[in-house]
Parts: sequence; C-alpha cells; structure tokens
Amino acid sequence: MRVDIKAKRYGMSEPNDESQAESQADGWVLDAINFSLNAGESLAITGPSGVGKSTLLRIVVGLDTEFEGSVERPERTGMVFQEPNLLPWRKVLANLTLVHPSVSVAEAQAMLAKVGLADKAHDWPQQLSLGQQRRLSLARAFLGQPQCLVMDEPFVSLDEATHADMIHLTQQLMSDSGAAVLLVTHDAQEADALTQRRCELRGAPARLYDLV
Amino acid sequence: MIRKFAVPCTSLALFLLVWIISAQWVADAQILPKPQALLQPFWQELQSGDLAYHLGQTLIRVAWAFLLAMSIGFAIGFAMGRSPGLNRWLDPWLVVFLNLPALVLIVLCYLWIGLTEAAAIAAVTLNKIPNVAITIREGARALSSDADALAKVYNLNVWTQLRHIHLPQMAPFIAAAARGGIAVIWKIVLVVELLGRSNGVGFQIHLFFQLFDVGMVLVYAFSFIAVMLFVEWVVVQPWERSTRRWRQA
Repeated sequence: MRVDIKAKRYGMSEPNDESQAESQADGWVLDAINFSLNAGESLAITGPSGVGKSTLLRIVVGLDTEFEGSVERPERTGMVFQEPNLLPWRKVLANLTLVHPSVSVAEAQAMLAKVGLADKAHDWPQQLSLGQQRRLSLARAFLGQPQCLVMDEPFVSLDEATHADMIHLTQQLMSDSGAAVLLVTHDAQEADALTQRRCELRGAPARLYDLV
Repeated sequence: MIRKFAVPCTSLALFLLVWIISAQWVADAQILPKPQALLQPFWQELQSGDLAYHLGQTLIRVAWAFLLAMSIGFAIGFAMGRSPGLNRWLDPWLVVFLNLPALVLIVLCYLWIGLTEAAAIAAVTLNKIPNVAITIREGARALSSDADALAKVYNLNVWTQLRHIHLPQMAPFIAAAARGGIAVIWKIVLVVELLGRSNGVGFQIHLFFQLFDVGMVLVYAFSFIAVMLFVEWVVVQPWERSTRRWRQA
C-alpha cells in the first residue's frame, strides 16, 4: 500500500483547538501524508481526537474521495471498523460469506473456529456479546487472505481482560495472514503491541511524525 | 394460538350482530338485507360462474397495478431517498401527483389512451406510485451509512448491495407500502371498472346499483374483501414476519 495525499475536507469530528479551526477554514486538514506498507509490515497512527485520523482512514479505504494525491490500495483490502458494523439481519456465518463470496463455507467456519466462535455460526449477531461481535468483525477482516488490513480503533469500549484477549487474537491473526496492517488508535500500548512502527498525526494541518 | 384467532373472530361476530340488529331495525330487505339473506344470491352467483369470472378480472387488474406501482414507486422512491439532487427535481411532482384526485387521472387515462385494459391499469398504477415512492423514500433515507461503508470497502456489487444490504433494512417500509398499496389499489380498480370496463367487481356493483339490488352489491363487495383478507393473511403478513425474524432474536 502506498499513500501520498493532502486532504481538504475535515473528518467527522469537530476541531479541537483554534489552530485546527483555522486550518479547517484554510481548507487543508491533512498535509503531506505519505507512507508505504509492504506485505507483513504494520504501522500504527496515533493522535489527538479530531486531528484527522478517521479522515485519513476513510481516504485510505476509498470511503472519502475528496483529497489530492494518490492512494495505491491492494485489491484485497479488509477493514476492522470502530464499531463491529455487523449486519444484524444476517446470521454470523452469513455475515462472513456475504463480503467474501469467493470463500467457501468451510473456510469461513474455520475462521470462526480460529476466533472462538465455531458454535455461534448460526446465531444472530445481536445474540453475541460485544467482545464476540468484535471477534466476528476481526474474522470478517482477516478472511479471504487480505493483502492489506485497515483497523480503526478496533477495541474501544472493551473491558481490560477482553481487550487483552483481543490484542492476543489480533497478533495471531496478523502473523498468520502476512498482510500489511494500518492501525489507527488512541492507545499507544495497543499500537506498540500490534505494530512494528508508530507515527503520530498532529498539527494543523496535520502531518505524520515518526515515533518508533 | 386460540387467543390469536379468538379476538378477530369475536370482533367479526360482533359486526354480524350489529348488522343483524340494524337489518331488523330497518326492516327493509331492499335497503339492508340480513346476512343470511345473502347466502342464496352468493351461491347463485358462485354456481353460475359469474362471481369467479368478475373476481378474477378484478384480481388480474389489481395484481398488474400492484406490481407496476410497487416496482416503479420503489425505483423512484429509492433514487429520491439516495440522491438529494434528484429529490429536489422530483419532489414537486410527487406532491402534485399525491394531491391529484384519483378520478381525474382515471378520466384522463381513458380519454388519452381509450377505454382499454391498458388505460385502466395505467390509471390505477399512476394513482398509487406517489404513495409507494414517498414511503420508500423515507426507507432509503434511513439506510445505515455504516452498512454502506462496509459494502464499499468490500466492493460489493450493486445487486448484492440492493439484495443483502438495502432490501433487508427497507423491508418494513416495503411492507407498509405494499399493505397500503393493496388497500388503495383495489378500491381504485373498482372505480376504474365502474367507469370504463365491461367486467370486474366494479362493473357488477355498478350494474346492481342500477337495479337497486343491495344484496348483490354486498355479495360482490364482501367476496372481494374476503379475497383481499386472504392475501393479507396468507401472503403479506407471513412475508412481513419472515423479514422481521432477526429483530426478535
């Protein structure tokens, strides 16, 4: 994955301070954001609320098209959303097979087993706990051998034990898949546990600064 | 299960009781015959085949108009709900057609197209499209942006998005449009038949009105109501329940 952009539109959050508000007025929110990720590499982006992390992610996965520059994204890109973002009208297994039509039911069931949901295949998503829903969201993202994975604060609102479990599970899935991983998070420990490199997005307009 | 049927059956029984008391009070079979007095003319119409023929003709018109109104109304409403620009263009026309009296559209269709089957079905369809479109538009506006994001990230094609992402969310709106659609369409079909067709329940009711035969008017009206209740209970309600299964999980 290769990203080289500057973006005008502000994301979904309000500016935090005057400098952000001024930059919004000037039009530029993200400036000179460039990085590349090869297979097996991982990068975490941290930064204060409202700085433009979500805008950057939306641009990377193609949800936002108002930017200048270029984003080269592999064909098979998976995403773990901030909320599990499951389809409540489709059962657990059907949530996986819908977005991965080329994947067999056996492969989908194997992935469910990997994330500890083997016995939940025919349950409705709303019958799962929040932790289980997040596991399902991870399963959906890692299924189908993605070349690149984008994770948007994937473990918010989890209790400490479940959070630790999820980190462990994600590490396993990442090492199995070999995909390039881009993680956006507030949590520096989470970033260090999951990725090889960490950058901070800060300033107005926001730029990326290497940390680790 | 018993309670489920007990209440509607009691309600119907009460209606019959009120009817019998009213007929007793009016004491004129030409104005309001007793319910049992309708059995003989009903059997007569059934045996002659007239009832089945005219009911069939009306049902064919209802089915065509329903299918066309739901399809076109869905397409227009969905597009308007998803595209604010298109909504700005079409909204005034939606208001115009919503407020245009059904009779005007029926008469204009017969005048412009002729006293044909196509004109009859077109008139009913045009009357119903705005109602379907306005209900579906609200459904399309309420679609989840998170589900849209999921579909976009995973490159789901348009057909998959419509079938598996949009339609399940819109099922309550489609059911509401369908239920309202059937109720309004069959009423308008009777008017269309009364004005310009030579068969159908509307034509028969008009015929017996001229003969001042209240009994036969009621026979045809109740026969058709029975058919529509059958459609509601056997088709619409089970379908609606199946689309709501996941909400009850």
